[in-house]
Amino acid sequence: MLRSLLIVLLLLTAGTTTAAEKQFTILFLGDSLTEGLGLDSGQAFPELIGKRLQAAGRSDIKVINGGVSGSTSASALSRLQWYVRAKPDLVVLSLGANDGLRGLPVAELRTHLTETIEFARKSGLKLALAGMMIPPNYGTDYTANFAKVFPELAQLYQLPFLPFLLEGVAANPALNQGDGIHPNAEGAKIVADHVYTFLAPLLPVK
Amino acid sequence: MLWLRLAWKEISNNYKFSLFFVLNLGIGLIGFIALDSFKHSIDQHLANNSKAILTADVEISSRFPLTAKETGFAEAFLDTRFEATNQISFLSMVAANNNSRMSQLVAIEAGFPQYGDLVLQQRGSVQKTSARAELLSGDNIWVARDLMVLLGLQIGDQVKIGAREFRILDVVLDDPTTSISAMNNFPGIYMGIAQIESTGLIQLGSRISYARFYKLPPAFELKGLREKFTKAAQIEFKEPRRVTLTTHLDQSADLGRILTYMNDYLGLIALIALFLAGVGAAYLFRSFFTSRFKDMAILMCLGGTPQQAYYMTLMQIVLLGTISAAAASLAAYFALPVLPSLFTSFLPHGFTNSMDVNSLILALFMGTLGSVICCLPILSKIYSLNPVGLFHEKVEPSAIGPHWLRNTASYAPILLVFWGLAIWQAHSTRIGTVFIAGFLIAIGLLAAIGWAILRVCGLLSGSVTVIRKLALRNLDRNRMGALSCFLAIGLGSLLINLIPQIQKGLQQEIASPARFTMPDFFMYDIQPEQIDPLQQLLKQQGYALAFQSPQVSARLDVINDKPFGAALETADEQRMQRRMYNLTYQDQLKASEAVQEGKAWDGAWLPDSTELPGISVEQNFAKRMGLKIGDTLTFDVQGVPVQGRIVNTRKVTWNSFQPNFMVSFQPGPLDPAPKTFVAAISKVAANERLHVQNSIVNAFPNISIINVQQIVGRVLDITDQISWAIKVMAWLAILAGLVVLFSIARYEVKSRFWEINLLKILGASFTDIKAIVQIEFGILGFCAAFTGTALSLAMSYSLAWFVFDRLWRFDALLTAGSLVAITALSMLTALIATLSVLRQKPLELLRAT
Repeated sequence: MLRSLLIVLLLLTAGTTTAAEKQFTILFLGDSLTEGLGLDSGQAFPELIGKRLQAAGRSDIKVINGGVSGSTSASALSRLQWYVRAKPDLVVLSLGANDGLRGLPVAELRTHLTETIEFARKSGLKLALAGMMIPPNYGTDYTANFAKVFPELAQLYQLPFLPFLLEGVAANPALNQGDGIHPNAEGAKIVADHVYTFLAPLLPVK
Repeated sequence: MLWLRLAWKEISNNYKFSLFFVLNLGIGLIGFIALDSFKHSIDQHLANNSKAILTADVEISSRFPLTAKETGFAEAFLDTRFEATNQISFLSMVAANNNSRMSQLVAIEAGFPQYGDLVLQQRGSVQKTSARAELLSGDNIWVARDLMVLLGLQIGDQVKIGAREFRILDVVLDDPTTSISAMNNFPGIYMGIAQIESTGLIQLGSRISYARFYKLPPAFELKGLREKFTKAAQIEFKEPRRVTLTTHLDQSADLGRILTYMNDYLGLIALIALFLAGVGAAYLFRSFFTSRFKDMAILMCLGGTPQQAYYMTLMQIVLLGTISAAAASLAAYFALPVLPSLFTSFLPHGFTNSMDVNSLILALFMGTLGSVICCLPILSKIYSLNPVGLFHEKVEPSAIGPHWLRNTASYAPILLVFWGLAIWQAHSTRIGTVFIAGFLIAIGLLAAIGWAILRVCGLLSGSVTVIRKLALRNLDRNRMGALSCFLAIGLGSLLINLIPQIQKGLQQEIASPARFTMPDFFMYDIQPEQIDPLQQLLKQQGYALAFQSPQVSARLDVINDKPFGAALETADEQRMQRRMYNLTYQDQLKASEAVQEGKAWDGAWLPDSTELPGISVEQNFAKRMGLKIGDTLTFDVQGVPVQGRIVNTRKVTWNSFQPNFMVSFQPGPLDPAPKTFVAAISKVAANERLHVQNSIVNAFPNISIINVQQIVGRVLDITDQISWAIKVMAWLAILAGLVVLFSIARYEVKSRFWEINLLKILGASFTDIKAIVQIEFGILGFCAAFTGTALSLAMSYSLAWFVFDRLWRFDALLTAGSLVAITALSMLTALIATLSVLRQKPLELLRAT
């Protein structure tokens, strides 16, 4: 009896130990905003979130910066298929800005994001969606139709949703680089704060 | 005034000789003016073409409205007079007939464009008509032809842009500005600045480009301006890249680089022209002055001071030089503008050739002040002139004497003036200094080698036939005269041969090899699953997908087990660490690639292989990164480490119009990685292009498609013109050089008439005399040309090293050709001149002396 109890205890302890050591991986699947174009090493918002988690003693959480400059939503599915090898526990999908800036049809954006979300579901990946808006000069109809895609998909698939990735940063010259669209170091910090607050409830409790 | 009268009397008394001198110097100066003017015309023509793309000399732009402080700062930075015009532009969706397209809205002011022209369907040239005033007078727009077709629009239609309706006034058929923005290749809509503000599209958060264009004085130096501005703006505004400055040279990295090469090359040509004219003029002046030593000695016998003797002769030279320069300028003035009309078929469109004021000033300088400077060293010799010399066959000042220091110092003004001129002509202190230093070394070496050759001629003269003996002894005995001729011919051939080697290297770099044809479309961002349907779509229209290459985005993490950039300290170095690379993988090399070092791989890499996958790196990239064969590289391919070993370095023909990559992997490890494809389509008929482009955009909206012909065509056009100009200038330089050499050889033979006459009196046959002169000039011409050419190879190589990024190719045919041509020219000129001396009666010749 005692022997059996010991084995169970050992197993439980072993189980607890494994759970404690298991890493929780967050994958940020995005574009240049995620990659940190024009910023120095370690200044992109996913890296800032990683550092903040480390500082908070969350060494069990690993962050992968899957940002590729210039990428559109068309690449989302194949990229997520590649990242499945890294077994992410949470995917933050923040693609679409380049679709908008290049004036790609809104229906295409919707299709690509839908395919990606459905693949994540089938693969058992937890996915959060970051919304995007495009500058008003692109025209009232186009900007409105574009912005609608993200909340609609989030609602349809019941996804955790961040309404606008660049909230509080976009259009502010002091927080953006000279090109007017990529956050500078200060801007990236605000994005990181904002995304961190959004992610906090989605992270495993220590 | 007295000196002037005396000098003129001397000239008119010796009018035959004077005419001959003026003719020789004039021919040389015409060569110089033609070469220098042509250089300026080409420079101007190419710059205008490049300015037409930007529509200005300089542009400052910002993503935020330009403040008065910013424009004030930029204008204070430019610190010159200017004309300015503002522009606002942004992208917007434009809808019509149930269709919508992304367009580039461009709002202009009346001053647009400052260079170049837009061609409208109904009104024609924007520069030459009142089209701009009409456009700016109301809610009017000009629309690019492509957009008219895509949206099914007609002139007179109303189009809604933002909150306002605009009337299509005309269609833009030709717009040079479309050549810049390869990535934002959206059809343009032009309107007035006041009108664009009423569209309501400019709001908080709108992505707008605010620009101010400047037209600056022609001589304003633009090279390096952007970098200087960036630094100054950073200090002033503390925020980098807020306001950027772009010159017309910066628009396309390639074009800018090529235009800089061209500028340096033309600077070099100008230097060659200057030095050729200098060598010719100096030689003729000095020879003239030396031939006048006898008159000076007589003048001194009659109680004249050396100073007076000198002034009179110098005044003669200045007068003759001025007449030559004026005559040459006049001849060039009438001949140069006519020249292009003779070669219209191979001159670029719109090219005009006119005489440049600078060339004229320089030619006059060479003719007048040049003579004074070139004769300064001889002036000092006058103090060593002894009237006793009158009893010698030739009157020459003693070379060694108490005035040797003054003799040596008298060369300093020549050096300083030519150094200054070299810098002025080349527009670069560096090139001017490198050139003059090389030239001085070459003079030293040429003089030493020439001296040795003439000495050898003397030694060899003992064991040959009488004719050869006389020829060889003449060279040895008259060593100073022969040496100056040797120096002049040697320097002439050095200058002539400097160009071909650099020209060949430059041309190989600039002109795209004939075996590569430019495709009509480049496409990127093609998703893997789109390749097959895209191929199908093209096949239906009779086209095929070419050069498709996978592109995998990755970050270099580890080199040889050491984290890349671990040892890097500066922010710039660390930024490099973040650099993402576009990797590709391929079975075999493309036509534009060749293995430079190492081996190509054989087939795909297999996961059970004991070897790491092969990596091929571009040779210059390898050099820059300090990579060598055998090094291992680990890339972070979007979260997954992929390691490989460098097995070869590749030479890539970048201007091959094919997708080329710095780093290429052996097929296998990257196959499953997320990737996109780049590809091209070739041989699409001009009237089919819009249709093909449209069908791809409709079927695969995410694929970015670049109309290469439209974007690169204009830049390539300029590149072709540069390549053409480089070749023509090389030939012109050779021609001008030969003209100068011809006048030198002619003068030299003429000055031998005393000896020729003596031989004639002593009973030598015409054939013998001809043979003696031929041998003399053959040896002089060949040896000088050979030495000059050999030195030119070394000098052009170092020039290429310092100035032209080591672009140097040995052109054996041209080198050998110029060697033969210079030797033949020396012998032929000598022969013609000898014949004219031989035709005269000995008595006339005796009287003439």
